Order: sequence, then structure tokens, then C-alpha cells
Amino acid sequence: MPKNIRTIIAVLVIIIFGGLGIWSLLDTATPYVGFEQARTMKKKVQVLGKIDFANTNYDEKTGLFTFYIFNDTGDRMRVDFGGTKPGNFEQAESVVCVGQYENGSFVAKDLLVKCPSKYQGSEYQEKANHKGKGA
Amino acid sequence: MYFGSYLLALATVAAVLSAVGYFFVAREQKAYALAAKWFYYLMTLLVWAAIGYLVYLFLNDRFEYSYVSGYSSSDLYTNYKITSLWAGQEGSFLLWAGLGVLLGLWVKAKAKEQPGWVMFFYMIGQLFLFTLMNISSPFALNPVTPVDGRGLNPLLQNFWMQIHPPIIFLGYASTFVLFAFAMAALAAKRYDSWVKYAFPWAIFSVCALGAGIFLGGYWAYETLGWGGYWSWDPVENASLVPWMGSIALVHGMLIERSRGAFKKTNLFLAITAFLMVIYGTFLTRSGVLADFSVHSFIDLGMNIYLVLFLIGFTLLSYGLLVIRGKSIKSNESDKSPLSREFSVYLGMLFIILSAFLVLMGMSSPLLTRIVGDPSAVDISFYVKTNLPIGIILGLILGMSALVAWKPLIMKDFLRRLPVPIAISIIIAVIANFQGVDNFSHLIFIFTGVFALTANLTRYVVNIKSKGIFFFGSDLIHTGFAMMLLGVVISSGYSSHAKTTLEQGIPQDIQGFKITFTGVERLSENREEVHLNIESGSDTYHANPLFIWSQQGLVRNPYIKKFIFYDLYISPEELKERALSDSDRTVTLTRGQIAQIEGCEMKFIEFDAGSHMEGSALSIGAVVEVKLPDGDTLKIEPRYKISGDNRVELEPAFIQGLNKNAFLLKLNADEGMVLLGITDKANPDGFSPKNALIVEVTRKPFINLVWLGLVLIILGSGFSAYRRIKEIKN
Repeated sequence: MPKNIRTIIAVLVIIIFGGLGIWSLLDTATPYVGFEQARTMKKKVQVLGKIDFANTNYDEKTGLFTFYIFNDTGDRMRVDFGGTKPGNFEQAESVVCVGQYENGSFVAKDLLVKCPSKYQGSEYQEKANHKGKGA
Repeated sequence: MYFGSYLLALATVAAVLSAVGYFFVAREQKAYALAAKWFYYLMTLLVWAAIGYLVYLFLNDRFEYSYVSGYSSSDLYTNYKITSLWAGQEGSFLLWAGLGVLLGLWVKAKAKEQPGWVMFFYMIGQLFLFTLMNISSPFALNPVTPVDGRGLNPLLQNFWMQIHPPIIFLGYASTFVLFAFAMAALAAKRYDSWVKYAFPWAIFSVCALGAGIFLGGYWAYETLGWGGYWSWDPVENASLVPWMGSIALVHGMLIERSRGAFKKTNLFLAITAFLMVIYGTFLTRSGVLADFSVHSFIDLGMNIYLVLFLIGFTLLSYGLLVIRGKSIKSNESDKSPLSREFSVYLGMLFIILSAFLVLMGMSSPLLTRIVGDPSAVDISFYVKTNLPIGIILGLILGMSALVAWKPLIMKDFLRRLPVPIAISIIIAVIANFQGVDNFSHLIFIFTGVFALTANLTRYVVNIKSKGIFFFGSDLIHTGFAMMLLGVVISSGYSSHAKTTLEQGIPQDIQGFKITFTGVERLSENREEVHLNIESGSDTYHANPLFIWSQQGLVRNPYIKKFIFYDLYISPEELKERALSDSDRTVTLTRGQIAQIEGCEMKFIEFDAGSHMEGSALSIGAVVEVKLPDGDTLKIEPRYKISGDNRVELEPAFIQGLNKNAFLLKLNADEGMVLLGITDKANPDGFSPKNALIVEVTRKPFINLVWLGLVLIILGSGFSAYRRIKEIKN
């Protein structure tokens, strides 16, 4: 065994997994974009918008929750969400939708709810109300 | 400024003076030792007085304090009023500092070499917490005192959530100790003995951070209803990365203790575990991730301090390590690939790598901001990068059990190899037949089972000669492999079904016949859902819960545990159902005529006497019905209450209309009846119906996660017992 085998292994492994890390990072990065950009991008993105509470619907057949978000310029976008509606959705000021725009609506895989009060920003309270998708 | 704020300010002054004192002690000016010590005691006292005062404010509902009104209410149980202390950011910093100063008392007593440097660097770390504590003080006042507080989120009113934060903060605080010992060694240029003192603390960090992470995960699984225990959120990762760092450190220290190798690596790891805690605090508390993490706090004006501390600590510690680097002399470690040392080295390398990749993922919004649009990585990033590392770690773990600490002969090694390999292949093939079709998952199962069997075998074989306590580490490794297997299988192969259950109508879901039987209102803001789950001849009862609070709707899942899987029932929403078109009701007073189903109905009178049966009460309503064709007939539906208070409704058949009439309700005083007309022979259609939108998930082999955890705890206990016994002898 050469004397510096440990260093050689470490360097090799770091190069391989560093490369894997960077490649995966670029592959799975979901940029934060505006409505217009979200409509044209063919990949997973995040959009922030205010919720139109007057116009929400749950379709029992498809299990899809549909609502509309709007931004300061008055632009509106339809959002379809197949997961469980976050518990603090009704209290939300705005919502971050993670997903992809397809055929006229934004298909959200995840919703991050943003609450108006700074005290609702508590780490555990927010975690409590969030519907995650983890392991 | 109020009393609590004065306590914090004075504690900070005492902390600074103590730090200065210890600096002089470190520079061999022993005269300052006494002052440094007493300022330390004063600081400890003041911090705990502040904690005590905050508890007092909570117990007395002092809602003029915005922290108290934000996390408590007058009707909250007393024990939750105490634990509300750490429900939010400001209080949790205070708790963290409180635990830090307590640990410091212990460090002070145990630091036999360079106590001045150790305590100086420990105080430098504490000043970080003191600064944050003063900036985001829990003693801020509300502009207007509210009548009542907002209350504690019902999800936090849970046993696991009461103990999870203190344990995780204890873990964070313990990394400050590692930092202090490592920095003292560097400052005093004495690199050989610090590990002796720091080793128990490294183990303490691993245990506290690990316990905190597991408690948090178990709480999430049990109460959150999204079906997971881990979501790769920055707040979770902020405790995972230092935990992995401390695991690597413990292994490095083991080798340093036995062979004097890895000195620089261990100094680096001790410092880095601490820096990762600071960095994690910066990421999650500064607001830089506010758009990317649901858990993140918004900026409370301490951003700049967090950045300054982070940069300061990094430059100071890594700078000193680089400057001293040349003078640190390590022994050579065993480089034979068939040595346990070599596998420990590889294991450390891959754990650090995994920690680094997690770090990269959680930092992605900052990293990508440099080159363009800030982007957060998808959860798949963590899976993609860590799965190959998991596969390799399984292999290393298995190998480490097959090789001894001293180099062994190839023949010995080859003799031990076939059995674990054969078992792993068999299990992987079975998994393939059971539906695991992803190639990398199969490889993962192969190496995971290899690690599991190799370590378990070594443990069991050695029981005879060494007793059950000797190879606790093998048990820990067995548990770890088991846990990784459980994580991958339960998350990769769980099956979801989301459906709407109509009350009383069974549905086949996930191989079970599930019936939504009803809803029970437990209190003003709690509704319990009742479900019957049938499987063959077995029937189970499930009762998930909806809780409404100021913080939003909370959905408590119900988990039915089986040996090979969990049935995870997550309630989503209740819907009220209207009566069907064929079920009509009508309210009539005496003599009143109503049109229903094309006929005229007239309530004539009550008839109480004629149908007495035993002690039962039976009341009939005599109703005159004029059919569409002009015929008139009299019917008499009856309302009966039997001896055991059971209500029975006896219908009256309306000839020519082919419908049944039920007397649903009556009010004898006002002479009023509620009639129900239906096609059915029973009145079920008239009781209000609900529908439940529910998600039912089958999570295979999740018990491996908890069983693995039990083995890890058991193994740690055995190892601790063995070490303590060694010290005593």
C-alpha cells in the first residue's frame, strides 16, 4: 500500500461526491420566480402570491384543491394542489407554491404558508402546521 | 427597560468580565482566577434568575409581555405555561444560554489543563448567545396589554414537544464545550491531552443531538399528520449536520486515544461541529431563508450580529488551526486496508461527506444567489446525494465488523465473509420479489443487511467470551444499519390513498374495509372522528382528531401499528352532507296542513295511550293524508322510548304513495311534530350525515426505524457501562 493511500482516497471521494453534489444541486434547484416566468419555465419553481379566499374549491373526485393567487400587479394564477391543505391556510397572508405550470394552472407539489404575525413565525408552530412530504 | 431586561443586561456584563478574567488567567496571571470564577457564578445566577422570572410571568398570565401573550393564555395548563418558555425564538435563546452556563460549571470543574484558555473560549461562545438574548429579548412589552394570550399551539401541548427543545439545546450547548477544549489546545500548543477531557463531551454531544433529533422526528410522526418524521427542512438539517460532525469526531478520538493519530482531524472536527451550530443558527434565525423554509424566523434585527459572530468564529478558529498546523505532530495510523482503523477512517470520511452535502443543500438559496436566481433544492437532492453514501457506509460498517483492530490474515477475513454476504443476497432477492424494483434501493438493501448481519454476528459471537456489555459499539452499528434500512424502505415504498368516506358506507382502502361511523365533539375546539377498520375477522377502532386553534387547524393522525407496517390515517377535512332528494322532512303544528310529495298532510293529534308496551313510552302522531288522486287516509307513525332509554321509530306506510312516514321529533307542549317521508324502511337518512376526506398510508417496515433506535440506545448504554467500569478499575 502506498504511504499516502488515505489522502488519495479522500481526494478521489471528495471529487466524485463533490461533483455529484453540484450536479444534483443544479438538477433539483427550484428557483424563486414571478408569475410570468413561472408560466414559461419548464421546470419546478417556487412562486409567492396572495390567496383569493373568495374563490377556492375542493374537488372530491380528483382530490385536487384549487385556488387563485394574485400579486401586486393584479396578475392572477390558478393553483391546483393535490396534497393536504396546510392547517393554517385560512390564516395565511400569502403562500409560496412549489411546483410547475402545466396547461393553464400551476400544479403545486408543496405549499409553504406565510403568516402575518411575527409570532406565528415560531419554528415549531410553523412546522406543526406545515404539510411536508419527507421521509 | 424592565426587571427581566436588567437581569439579562447584568448577566451579560458579568459574562464579559468573566471572559476577560479567564483571558488573564490563560496568560498566566493567576490573580484573576478568583474574580473570573465569581463573575461566572454571578452570571449563572442572573441568567437563571431571568429564566425563573420569565416562568413567573407565564404562571401569572402577565400578558403585557408580548412573549407571554404570544405563547400562553389564561386557560393553559400549568405545566404547559412552564414549557411555553421555549415555545418561541426569544425564550429558546434564553433556555439555550441557561443550559450553556450550567454545562460551563461542569467544564470548569473538569478542565484540569489550561483551565484559563478552556474557560476563555467557552465564554467567547457564551457571549454569542448573550448577544442574541439581549437583542431578541423575551421581556419586550406589548404596546397594548391584551385581555388574554394567543395560547399555545395545540401541537406543542404534547409530551415529546415539551422535552425535545431542551434536549436539542443541550446538544447545541455541548458543542461549545468541544470548541473550547480544541481552541484551548491550539492556543496553548498542547495538542496531546485535550482529547482525554473532550472525549466524554463528544459522546455527550452525539447522544444529546441524536436524542433531540429522534424526539423531534417521533413527535412529527405521531402528531403532525403529514406522515413523515423528517422533511429535510433547514431547521432539521441545522441539528443533523453538527450531529454527524460529532459522530465523526467520536470515531476520530477513539483512534487518537489508541494510536495518537488524527490529531489535526479531531481539532478540525471539534471546531467544525461548533461552527455548524452557529451557521445553522444564522441560516434559520436570520431570515435569509424566510422564503424557502416554513420554519424559518423572520429577521428580528440580529442578522448583522449573526453574520459578524459567524465570520469572527470562523476566522479565529480555522485561522489558529492553520497557524498551528505545522507544529501538530500525529502518529501514523494503521493503513492496511484490512484494519479496523482503516474502516473507521473511511466511515468518518463518508459521514463528513454526507454532512457536507446536507450543508450544501440547506445553503442552496445562498449559494445560488451568488450566480443568479436564488433557488432552494428539492428534497430529492438529499435523497440523490445521500443514497450512494448510505450504500457505501453500509459496506464500510459491515467490513469494520469483519476486521479486528489489529491487522489480520486474509484467510481469517475470508472465512467470516460468506455468511453475511449470503444473507444479504437472499434478503435483497426477497425484497425484489416483494416489489423493490429500484436498482440502487436493492444495492442499498444488500449493503444495509450486510452491515446489520456482520455487526450482529460479531456481537452475538462475542457474548460468550466478553459478556453482553463489551461490544456495545457493534450493537450501535447494528441498530444504525437497521434504522437506515427502515428509513429507505418506509419512505420509498409507502403507498398513499386519498379518498372521501361517506358516513356509514364502508370502503376498501389499502387492503382494509374502512367505515367512517361518525363524529364526536369532545370540546369547543376538538372533534374526534370515529373509524372502523376491518381486516378479515379483526376489527379496530381509529379516532383521529381535528383541533381548531388561533394558530390554525391541527390534524392529529391515528396510527395503527402492525409488525410489518404502520397504517397511518390522516384526517383532512369534514364535509356536511345534505339530505338526499328522496328523503323529505316537514314540521307541522296541530291542525296545520302542508304540501309534501304531492299530497296534503294534516297533523290531527297525539295518541299516547293505545300502544303501551310494558314500561315503554310510545307516542303516535295521527296524520291525515290526502293523496294526489283525492283519496284520504289516516296514518300513525310512532315514537317509542324503551325502558333502557333507546329511541325506536315505528314508521307508518302510506298506501298509494309507496313511502314510509316517520315521526322524527315531537314537542307535546306546543303540539308540534317533525315528520320524515322516505322510500326507505329505516329513518337513517334523516340523521345529519358527514363525509370525511382522509389520507390512508401504508408504511412498510417503519418498525425497523424504531427497533434500530432501541438497539442504538441499548448499545450506547452498554458501552457507557463498560467505559465507566474500566475507569473504576
